Amino acid sequence: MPALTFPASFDSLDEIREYVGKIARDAGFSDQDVYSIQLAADEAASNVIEHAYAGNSKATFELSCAFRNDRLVVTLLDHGKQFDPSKVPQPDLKADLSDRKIGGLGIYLMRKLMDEVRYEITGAGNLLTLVKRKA
Amino acid sequence: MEIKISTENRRVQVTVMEVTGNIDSATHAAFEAKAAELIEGGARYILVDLTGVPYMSSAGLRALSAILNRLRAVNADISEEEMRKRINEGKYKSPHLKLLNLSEATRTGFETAGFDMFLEAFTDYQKALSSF
Repeated sequence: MPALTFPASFDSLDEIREYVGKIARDAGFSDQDVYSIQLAADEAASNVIEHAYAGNSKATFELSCAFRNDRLVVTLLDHGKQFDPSKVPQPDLKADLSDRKIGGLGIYLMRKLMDEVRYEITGAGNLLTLVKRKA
Repeated sequence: MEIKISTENRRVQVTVMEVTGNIDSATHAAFEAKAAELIEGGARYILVDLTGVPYMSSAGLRALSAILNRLRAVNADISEEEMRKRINEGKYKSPHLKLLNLSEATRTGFETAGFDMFLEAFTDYQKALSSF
């Protein structure tokens, strides 16, 4: 799967959303699913930029997106601080509103909008895989 | 992202924030800071016009939540406990913060995150204003 390299800057987000959106649309996903995939990829990339690299904009990460066997697979590979989204507790949205903070909202959205969210520490770096099955 | 500010007098004075551009991790801080400045300057009822916003991520949703809490801090309608109870019962919408014209993409995150449980989203500008 070919991967694109992006600088760890929030300015990369527009291009990432466009990139995964085009592949999802070409694969025939519904508008709703395309929005879900774009949002999940944005949240994943935002986490890498904010947590793995903590604002080091000289760092880069790799993103790939491909459609195969009725599954759209988005991967993000970074070499920053390990950050396992599956370890972040699910926010209680109703309670947290009153607690004046909503932690883990992006991760909550990723899990809700995608069919699979997987995080692995590999020899090549920290690998996050997001999968959306075509209905 | 650009933000235009206007005020409209109805039953109360409504401050309208007309946003143009995406509200994501790159831009949410400017959006939140502008709202904070308005609230500091006396704004108590805010309508966020999202007609020109194709997309909002969780960063934008967190900003909305922070703005709502700022508005409640200066002008609480009901107690936290009562608000939580009513949200759980599906009977609460903020009287201080409302939204206009969510794009379909924005709605995806908005509803998945459950923000429709406490923020009302309108599609008609006049109706939105007169609802305050």
